[in-house]
Amino acid sequence: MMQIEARSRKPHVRLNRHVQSKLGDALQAMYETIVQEGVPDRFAKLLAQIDGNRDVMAGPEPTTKLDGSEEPRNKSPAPVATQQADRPLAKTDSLPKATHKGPS
Amino acid sequence: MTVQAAVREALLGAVPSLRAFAISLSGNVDRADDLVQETLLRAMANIDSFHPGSNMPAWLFTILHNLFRSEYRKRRREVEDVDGSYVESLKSQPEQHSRMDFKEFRIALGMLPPDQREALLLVAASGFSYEEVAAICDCAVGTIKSRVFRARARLAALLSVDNADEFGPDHTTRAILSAGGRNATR
Repeated sequence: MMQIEARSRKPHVRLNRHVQSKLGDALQAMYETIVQEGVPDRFAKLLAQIDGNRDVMAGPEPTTKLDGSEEPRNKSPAPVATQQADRPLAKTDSLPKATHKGPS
Repeated sequence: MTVQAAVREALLGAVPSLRAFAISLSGNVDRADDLVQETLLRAMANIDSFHPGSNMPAWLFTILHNLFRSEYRKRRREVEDVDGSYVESLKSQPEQHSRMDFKEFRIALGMLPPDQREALLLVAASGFSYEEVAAICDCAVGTIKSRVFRARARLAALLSVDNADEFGPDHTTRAILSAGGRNATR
């Protein structure tokens, strides 16, 4: 049984790999419960507003993940089915270049 | 996809991991989400200073780290019981079921000094290297290693972890709550 002692008198708890990995597992599992909540609406709305267009995220619970969305995020020339006013793509496949910045 | 859409995708994609860090670090969901929101705003405002092809998560976490630090200092100046409030938040917030499973663990986490807690989270949960964490926290690698070691040692002691123990929902929290959750000295 575990108890937490505010003023611990257990200096001999060994910080071995087993303990370390148990702590790591607990931390990662704790993280996972939060990650599974996805992206709350407030953030999707925030970014849509900042972007200066009136894009409305489709779906009741936006759970956008970095590369887990349904549509391919690559150099495909096929039109992406979004509701935003797309501008011609200057660079196809990289994160933002410093030269282009939208209205803020 | 436009460049702006790519930026938005990248920022949105980072939100879950930013939240995981911010919530675990601050102990308060609302405060954490406010910090994440501010991080996104700053990121968008400073997107020109982001070097394409470099490490966007690390860049975002650096922003979040700076915001947390500023806010923490500000709250301490206002003589708010910043450290004790971590545990109070945990006690008073309506917990989602999944988070209840880690309540004891999170309370112990809240007993760490913030610098140690942050270093431990970044290394052991956010998955950054020591070098990346040193850059995020703007200090030496050795300092991060020291903080992580001490954080682990203190957590292990607080939770009385030995080789046989597991973390789980069936442990009593009475000892922690009666101890008041006050942060130990740095």
